[in-house]
Amino acid sequence: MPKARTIILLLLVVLIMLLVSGVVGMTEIVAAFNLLLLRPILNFLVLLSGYLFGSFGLAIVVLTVIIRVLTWPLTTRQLHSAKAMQAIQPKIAELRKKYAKDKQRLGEETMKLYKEEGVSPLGCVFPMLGQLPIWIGLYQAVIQGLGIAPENLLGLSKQLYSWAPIQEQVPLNSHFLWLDLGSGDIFMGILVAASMWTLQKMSTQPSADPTQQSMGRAMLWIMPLMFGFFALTFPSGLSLYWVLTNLISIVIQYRVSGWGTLRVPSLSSLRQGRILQPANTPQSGDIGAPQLEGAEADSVVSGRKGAVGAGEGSPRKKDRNGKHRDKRKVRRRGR
Amino acid sequence: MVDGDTLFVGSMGGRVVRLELSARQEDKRVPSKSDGEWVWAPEVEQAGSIFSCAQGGQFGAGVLYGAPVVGNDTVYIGAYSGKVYAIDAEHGDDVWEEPFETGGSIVGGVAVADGTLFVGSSDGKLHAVDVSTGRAKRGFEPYATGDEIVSTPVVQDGVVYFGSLDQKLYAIYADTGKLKWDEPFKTGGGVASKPLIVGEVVYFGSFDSKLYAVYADTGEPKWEQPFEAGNWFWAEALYHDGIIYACSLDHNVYAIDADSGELASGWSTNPFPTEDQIRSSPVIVGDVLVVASEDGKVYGIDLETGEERWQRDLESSILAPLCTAAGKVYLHARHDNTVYAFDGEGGQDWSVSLTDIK
Repeated sequence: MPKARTIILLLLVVLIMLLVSGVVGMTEIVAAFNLLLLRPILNFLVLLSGYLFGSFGLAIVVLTVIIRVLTWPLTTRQLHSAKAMQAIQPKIAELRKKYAKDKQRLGEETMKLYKEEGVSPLGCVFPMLGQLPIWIGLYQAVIQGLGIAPENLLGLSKQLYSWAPIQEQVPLNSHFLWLDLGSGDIFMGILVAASMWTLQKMSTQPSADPTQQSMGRAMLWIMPLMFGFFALTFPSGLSLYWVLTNLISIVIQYRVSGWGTLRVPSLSSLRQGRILQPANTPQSGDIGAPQLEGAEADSVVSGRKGAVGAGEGSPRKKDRNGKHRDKRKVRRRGR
Repeated sequence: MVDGDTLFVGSMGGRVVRLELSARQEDKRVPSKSDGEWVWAPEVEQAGSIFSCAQGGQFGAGVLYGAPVVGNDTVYIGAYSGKVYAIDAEHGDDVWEEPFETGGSIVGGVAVADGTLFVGSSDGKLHAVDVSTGRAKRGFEPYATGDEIVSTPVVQDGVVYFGSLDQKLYAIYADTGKLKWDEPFKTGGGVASKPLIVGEVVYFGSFDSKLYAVYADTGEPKWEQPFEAGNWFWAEALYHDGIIYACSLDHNVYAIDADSGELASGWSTNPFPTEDQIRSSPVIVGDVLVVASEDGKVYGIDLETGEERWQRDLESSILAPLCTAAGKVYLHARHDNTVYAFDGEGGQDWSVSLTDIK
């Protein structure tokens, strides 16, 4: 993977140099993007729809799944990197405190810490950068394929390969389930907002900094509402892609770091009218297990899933090390 | 659309403008109403915001795509909202109590014959409207095709010819709305171009990159093989002296023998290459074929030799069909929302910014 990272970095440097030197302009970059990404994705999508009963909606579903499966390793690597970075945040905070007046030393010690912990500060950026062009390509392909204005239809003529099985699919069938994929849809808007909120809630890492906390809280609502609004106005084919990609991201996120800060009521907590309080990050290899937050996390013996939060009147007592224990477990052991 | 000394033009801003060609002063880009350069310019459609356009699934769509048609002192035009308007040619007032509504968007133009207006819509139907009332014509059930209609219909000898994106060309009786042929003519792609009728033959292009010639009476193909280009045909073809001039989205202008469907031999370079897609229909002025490509370049091509006689660059995309009258060419450029007038030798007479007409 370091090799891949070096290649991406080199490509970026070369791209910037070419742009700055004026050897290539934005027109050439757009043309290259269209040639290498947009056209292959769009044509594959159109061809796929031919094999899927002429349904462009089904083609979007299948292609989204294919792309997300192909980029699964990159996504999980990115999430693992983010998780590792979060895990060393207390140590970084300590360093900041310790070397508050010596910026150079702070930098050196931080880099040393990264090295010791095997964490790269750019580890979560590169996998994302790798996926970005594919996402933009798919986004553009959906927009181009579903545009029903004459300009969009004519634009399609520039992007489609002159191969009969592809050309025969034009105009594309824009009906899927209850959707007209070329028009906005209120239900898809709600789905986009809900799935994005869920994903954000799962992936947002709690911060000790009050400013970051309030910013995080605001973003948790602003982004889903914004995309929900976009989904009302953009072609619902694009919303279909957003919802699917969010759902797949939720699955990946769950596999890497569990429910995160998303409150998921467990059966036992529901019986007791309580809600699980998850932890900021999983502390062990217990991936996927919801955990408790902050100090409470240290004071609770959690089950595999569905641990019950601490609070007044909870059936817990302290053990001899001063840690809380579930009364029921104690009673069970006592028997 | 030129009618006598008057030019009627629809803009993407939703206005239909009546310009008086004889009163036009060449040195003034902004026309004056008091000098009689323009008579009326009612706003038939609100352009709306990007969001109001998007609500109908018309992301980025404009307002008036089809060219207006003039008949019985009335201007008829279809809007992207799906409404057809009838405007009094003299004063610019609405003729009908309310516009006629189709169930979809109108991209092509309208055709008027024998008191009936025909218009295709994205609801997949060809509608017939009684021009005296502005209501659906009695006894004519809107003819449903398998997909959207973006092609402009043509009426000849009581028969309406039009294409549909369901890849077929239709011929239906104007009075009953019944199919004339045994079955519509099937191609390998959507049919968006306006059919060209020459004598007993209908010429039209398709998204399968082929230009077809079929007999108007039977719907049987005339050529052994349709003519094949490198990309879709969108613009209406043109006929002159045994040759069909057809522009393809492959950037080329083809001169095709109308009888055989083969490339005509007269041109030194056939096809004539341009630098961008050609979406607007060409016109002939004298012995010059005038073609405009999307990038804003206007070409004057010698009809006999196929050589380029002149070229102008308007630097504004040209999508609307060109029109000609009295040796002049009129075209509407989209980005600067301006009407340009050229003579047959490419000399620019004048230009008018429709945005400045208030």
